[in-house]
Amino acid sequence: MADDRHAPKLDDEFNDDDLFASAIEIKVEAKADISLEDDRSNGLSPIEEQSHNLSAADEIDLNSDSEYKDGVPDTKAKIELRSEPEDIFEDIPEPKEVHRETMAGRSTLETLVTSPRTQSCNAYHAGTMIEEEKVITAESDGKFITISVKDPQKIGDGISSFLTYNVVTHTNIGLFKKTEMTVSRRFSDFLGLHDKLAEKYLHKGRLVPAPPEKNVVGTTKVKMAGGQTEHEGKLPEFVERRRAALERYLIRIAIHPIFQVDPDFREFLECEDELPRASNTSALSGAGVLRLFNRMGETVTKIAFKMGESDPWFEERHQQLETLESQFRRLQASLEGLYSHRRELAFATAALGKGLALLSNGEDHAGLSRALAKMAELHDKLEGVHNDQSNADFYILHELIKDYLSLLGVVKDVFHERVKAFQTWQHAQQMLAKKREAVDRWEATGRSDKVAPAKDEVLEWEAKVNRSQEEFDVISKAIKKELELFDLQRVKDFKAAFISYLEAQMKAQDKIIEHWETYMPEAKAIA
Amino acid sequence: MENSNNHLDVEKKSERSETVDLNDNTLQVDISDALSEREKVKFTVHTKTTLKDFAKQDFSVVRQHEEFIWLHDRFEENESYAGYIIPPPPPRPDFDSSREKLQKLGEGEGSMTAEEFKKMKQELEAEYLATFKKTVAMHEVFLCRLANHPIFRADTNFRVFLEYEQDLSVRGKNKKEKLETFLRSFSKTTDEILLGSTQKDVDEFFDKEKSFLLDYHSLLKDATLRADKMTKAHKDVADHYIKISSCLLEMATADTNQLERFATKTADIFEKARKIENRVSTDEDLKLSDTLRYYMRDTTAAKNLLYRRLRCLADYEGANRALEKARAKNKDVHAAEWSQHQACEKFEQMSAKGKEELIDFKVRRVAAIKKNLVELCELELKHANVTTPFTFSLKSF
Repeated sequence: MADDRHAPKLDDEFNDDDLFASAIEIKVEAKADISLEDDRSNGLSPIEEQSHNLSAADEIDLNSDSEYKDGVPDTKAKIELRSEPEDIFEDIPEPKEVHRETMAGRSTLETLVTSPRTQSCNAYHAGTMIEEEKVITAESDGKFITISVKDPQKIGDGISSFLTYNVVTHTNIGLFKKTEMTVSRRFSDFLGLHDKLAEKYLHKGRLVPAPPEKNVVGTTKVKMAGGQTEHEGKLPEFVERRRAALERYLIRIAIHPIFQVDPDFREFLECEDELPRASNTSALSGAGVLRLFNRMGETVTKIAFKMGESDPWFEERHQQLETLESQFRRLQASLEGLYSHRRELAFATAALGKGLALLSNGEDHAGLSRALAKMAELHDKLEGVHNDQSNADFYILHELIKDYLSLLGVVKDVFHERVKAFQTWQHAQQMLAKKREAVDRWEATGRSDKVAPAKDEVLEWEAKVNRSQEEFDVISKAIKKELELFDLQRVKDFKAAFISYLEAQMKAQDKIIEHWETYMPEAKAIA
Repeated sequence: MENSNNHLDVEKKSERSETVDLNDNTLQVDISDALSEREKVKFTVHTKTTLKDFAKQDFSVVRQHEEFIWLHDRFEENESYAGYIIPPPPPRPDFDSSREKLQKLGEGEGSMTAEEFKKMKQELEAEYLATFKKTVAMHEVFLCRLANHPIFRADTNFRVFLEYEQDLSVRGKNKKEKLETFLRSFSKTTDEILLGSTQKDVDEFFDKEKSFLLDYHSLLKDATLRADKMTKAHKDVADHYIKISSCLLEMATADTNQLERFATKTADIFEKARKIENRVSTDEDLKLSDTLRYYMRDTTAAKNLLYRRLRCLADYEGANRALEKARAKNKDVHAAEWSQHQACEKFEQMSAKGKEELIDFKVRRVAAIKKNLVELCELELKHANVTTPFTFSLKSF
């Protein structure tokens, strides 16, 4: 059945540069890998089915890797085929145009990218840490998708408790069931999403954004925190950081033209029921241990295998990325230092304020006493300003750098996948050579009965060689595209972050000016 | 910094002598020059006078810190000055922290870029210079107060200090003497506490003053410490800006796309921000911390005055009792009378002068703190106003 459904309408009418060309190929190939989801809601399938039906040659197969409900007869699906509105068609060409429109398209993406940082910045001005209305849009050609993560809530109590977040999406991309949806997700769901995407795309050379890290200490603290579950003020700082990180994570996925329309991603955003527990993301599970072993093995191969690099582009890029990484690390260290010192400053200012207040109490000259009291107040206010500034330091810049460090890690992984593909290719070539030798040998010794199967093997290995070579090329091309995107994104993000940081600084300075100006007449008024 | 010679220009001195008003020009003292050699600082004390008692009208001598302390001690010990507040001695020139930092910087040189190193070195040098200027200012203020005080300026020791061209050969106290001074101060403190609790003062004014000054002193000390912490934190923040700006610069040179210009500009901004933060911190230090510190010391001097007075009162009452006893025994009445009379006179004189001094002290204190607060305010505003335009320029990118 599966094979029927996506009559490959892929032709090579896709020019080389089309981002989606490769995406489609991937979809077709990856189809085999995709696990069927259990709780596909009814609504999704019609769309998928229907897009299959499109005559437009492009991208239909986006949905052809459809997830069927187990046992749902396809007849049902077919019936629904005709009834969908036509406007679904509009969405499909869109991804292609994203890419065609080079700068124009990118610019719309750009402007919106600034939002993550400014949003974090606005958070500080709004004052409250936890509940913030953060709106991020990824837009192209009038289509947009807005995601925000909010309302962390503790469900349950004690060791089995966990936090859920509300994921709110606004979009007019037709692939989604509705234009607005809100679902409740927990942290392991996010990790599960990452695993699914990584499984699908990593070995194709796509940069799958990395999810926020696990945090055992913080999580345990939240679990163990006593009864008050609804008290915003009680939730520790780490929850706020995680919430912001989760939001940035989802946005990064949404910005990527391929991931944006990925069905797993869509399910994550739409499905109102609880997602099946991605229990294999837990560190102590069987899958977790397996992952650990895999990672160790990979590290060894990374060190051991030196690929003969045929493409200088990759060599250069690799170097560049290494330097970038070390620079990021230095910057991160300095930012941390800055953050802690500014915290100290805020602290010391507050202490001074108290000292001055005491002094003013002890001072018997009325005028001076009043001036000192005012100065104490002033310093309290200054402390607030400094605190805000330090928060800006941290959230805007530091988190940005951290994100990029983890992204660089992903890039390295992707490079490694390429190396693996190369290895496979080489291996296949070697096997082919061996099999050919075997054929020759059998022919030489006149064992015709062995020759035929040997020749079959040769054919088989030839096919494998071709396939793996193709894969290798595919992955190389994909990486190149991804890195371009990555670079552009990086520039945008950095600019946005620094601008918003400096804006925050400016505001802080303004506040400082305000405070001192109110103080000035007091100082002058000392009799 | 070991062998560096720091000469301060004569022009600079005008910005230093601010705290004391010269009410008449018959005796003007200032420190026209200062030299820093290894461990020692040599001050050139320059005097201009129209008084006849001096041999010349305009002359200079070279003095070291120990000689200032010697002068202070002479005043402190002099009984006839017991009723006055003796100006607190200037603190020892202390370059240890700067030296330490320089050493650390030298050790860490390998781990940072050449530019960063240069900048941090610049910072340290600026810091050193600032400390240097401060210590010169302190010494000058001390001398000026003495010169302006109608009684002190006539003191022979003071004159000798100003005039004697040779070295006063005041050797620093050796161990034995240091121990002596320590024991003496220890006994003095215990005496002070004892007196404070047992001796009741006849005059309410002094009583009030005493309790006020005790409290005030400790509060000032507290506030000074906190102010110091704050300025230090400010400085640290400013230092970190250097690191960040150099990181950004590095990134900029490695980056080949538009981010380069942007990053360079940002690095620039951080650099400027740093300089300003630094300046803010030094200003704060100067205006706030130093003022508080100086008045803390002054308060100590006032407390000393009160202590002496109390001591005097105790003596007076002791003399009274002795007189009564003598009268009762009818022996040595005359001697007892005479000593009582002395004690009485001394005490009265002391009280009168003391009162004046304390009132004066209060006025001075209020005025100085006010002035410094106003200046601090102005400087902070000035600096904060300067930073804003920088960040605007970045948005053009």
